[in-house]
Amino acid sequence: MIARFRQFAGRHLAFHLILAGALTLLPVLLASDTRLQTVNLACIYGIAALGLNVIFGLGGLLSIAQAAIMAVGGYVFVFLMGTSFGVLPCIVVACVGGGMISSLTGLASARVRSHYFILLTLALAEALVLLIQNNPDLTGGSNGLPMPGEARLFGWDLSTTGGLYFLVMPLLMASWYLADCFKRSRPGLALRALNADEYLALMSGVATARARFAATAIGGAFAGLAGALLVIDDAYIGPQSFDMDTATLLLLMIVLGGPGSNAGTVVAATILTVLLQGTLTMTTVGQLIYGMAIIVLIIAAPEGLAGLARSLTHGHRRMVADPAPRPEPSRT
Amino acid sequence: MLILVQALTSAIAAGAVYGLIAIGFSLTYRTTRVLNFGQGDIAVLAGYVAHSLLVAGLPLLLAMAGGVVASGLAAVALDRLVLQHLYARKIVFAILSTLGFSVMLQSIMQLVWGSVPIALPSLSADTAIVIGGIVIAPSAVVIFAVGILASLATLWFIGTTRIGRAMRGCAQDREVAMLQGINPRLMFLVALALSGLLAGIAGVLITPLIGLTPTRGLALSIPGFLAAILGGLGSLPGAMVGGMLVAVLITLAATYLSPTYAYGLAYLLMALVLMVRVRGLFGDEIEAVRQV
Repeated sequence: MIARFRQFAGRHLAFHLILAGALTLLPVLLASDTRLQTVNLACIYGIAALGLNVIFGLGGLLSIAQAAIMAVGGYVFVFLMGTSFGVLPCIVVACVGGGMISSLTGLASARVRSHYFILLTLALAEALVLLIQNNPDLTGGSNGLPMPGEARLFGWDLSTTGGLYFLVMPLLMASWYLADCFKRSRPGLALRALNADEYLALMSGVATARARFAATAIGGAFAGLAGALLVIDDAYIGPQSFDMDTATLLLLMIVLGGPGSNAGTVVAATILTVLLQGTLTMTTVGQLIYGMAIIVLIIAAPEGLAGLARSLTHGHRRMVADPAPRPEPSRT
Repeated sequence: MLILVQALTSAIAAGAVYGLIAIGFSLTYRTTRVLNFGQGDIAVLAGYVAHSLLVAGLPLLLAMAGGVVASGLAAVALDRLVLQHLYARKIVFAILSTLGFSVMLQSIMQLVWGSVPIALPSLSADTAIVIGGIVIAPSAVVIFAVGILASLATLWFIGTTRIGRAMRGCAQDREVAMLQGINPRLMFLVALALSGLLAGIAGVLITPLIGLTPTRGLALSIPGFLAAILGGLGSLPGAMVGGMLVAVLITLAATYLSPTYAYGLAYLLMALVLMVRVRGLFGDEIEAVRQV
């Protein structure tokens, strides 16, 4: 078991390292700061989406609070940067902060499921936004705050687009690797099992509450990291970067990528960020297309990009998970 | 004391509107298991359509009726075009699609009516009624009366008519209902249409008070969610009572504690209800622990 895990870890580490190495050439290939800026943003949203994939994709807990957890990470980062800590410790604490707030929903998920969990995360998200907006002395209120301190890591200038790229890209690869490891680990397996069939998982002795707690804590830590990176990227923090639209966007990344698939999530995050930076959400028509795209995607491609890739490699498999509508078994 | 009574009288009107949204929300939930995040946007749509009809020269009452019908149609469209394809799959996908529907509806409203706030005239006279030092706005009385009437009509429909009984059966056990010859898809459609109409009524009632912007929807949905949870998700009388309670709580908190954190208190209460007593005030115990 452990030997097999080590084998997996080694193989996948190699994949991520090689990919990260190849991606160091990207700034040269793109040859434009604005395009690289978009890639940076894609990496940041990718990290947050990977976190949400752990919570929603693997654990089946639909969380609307992921954007708000990003805000927690971002504000923690800004507060600490104001007190002359270095960038690295601030990022670490932002991760921990995001994980802690997110794990509150994990604690709640021991009692509150499905619909109630969704509404609970909605309440958490709205409450956090309320706190941010109503404490202008601390958070700058609706106007937000510029990032205090110097964005420098071991003498590395993070305020330039190129400089930031060499922080966010390796971090995305690391997050991806960690998410893959978690997916294959025992808690990850437990999470997938209870998502597939909770009663069967309970019967097999899976510690469901612990698995859910771990999922929300890890997913939240990713969101905290993404929030801190977003602050460095914008050199600014404001509540509008973390509203419902961002939460919806992150969920859409999971749906497009295929729930549970980390590779799909990263690819979907890249595609969606590039699209959104280009045309969508700038105009109202773009918003309309965006809304329609969410619906069409959910209806037409239930397994997302990952399902598409699977159906291409295994031609005999159906793309649609449920070939025929069947009544759900009611459990009373 | 005077402030308290004054706050309560103004809360009641808002409570009726929240209650209407919550009833629609609860009705959709218990029949189809879908949480409709577009409920508030559907309500806003009614206000816009009513405004356009009014500008086109219709009398106010007819224009408002037109708005309500438009809301019902929007909800039917949501069911036929979107949800219908998703009922057989995991329910989170249907819920996610309503988020997409909300984004879509908002941008459609923005395209058609622009983002400049629009006002709608009130149904009642503007001169306030003063009873013993308490000022009652006539519009509040109208809102309260219409809201209560609409809720009672819905309760009657669900409680006594054949379709209502079929809907309740469908909510309780879909398979057994199917064995009795009930078409669940039709019941889903009726539930969506009804909740759309209720949202529409809420929309045209609240628009004269708060004005209209295309993105107002979520601000209407959230008190509806709070009310539905407080009353017990799936319980229709609970949703109405929950609406009143949420409005009273928010108004009292805004008057006595802090206007900025009134909603925060409501969220806290909602979290507390979810943690301690999931079935809320009137919810069904079996219903609340059911895994979906």
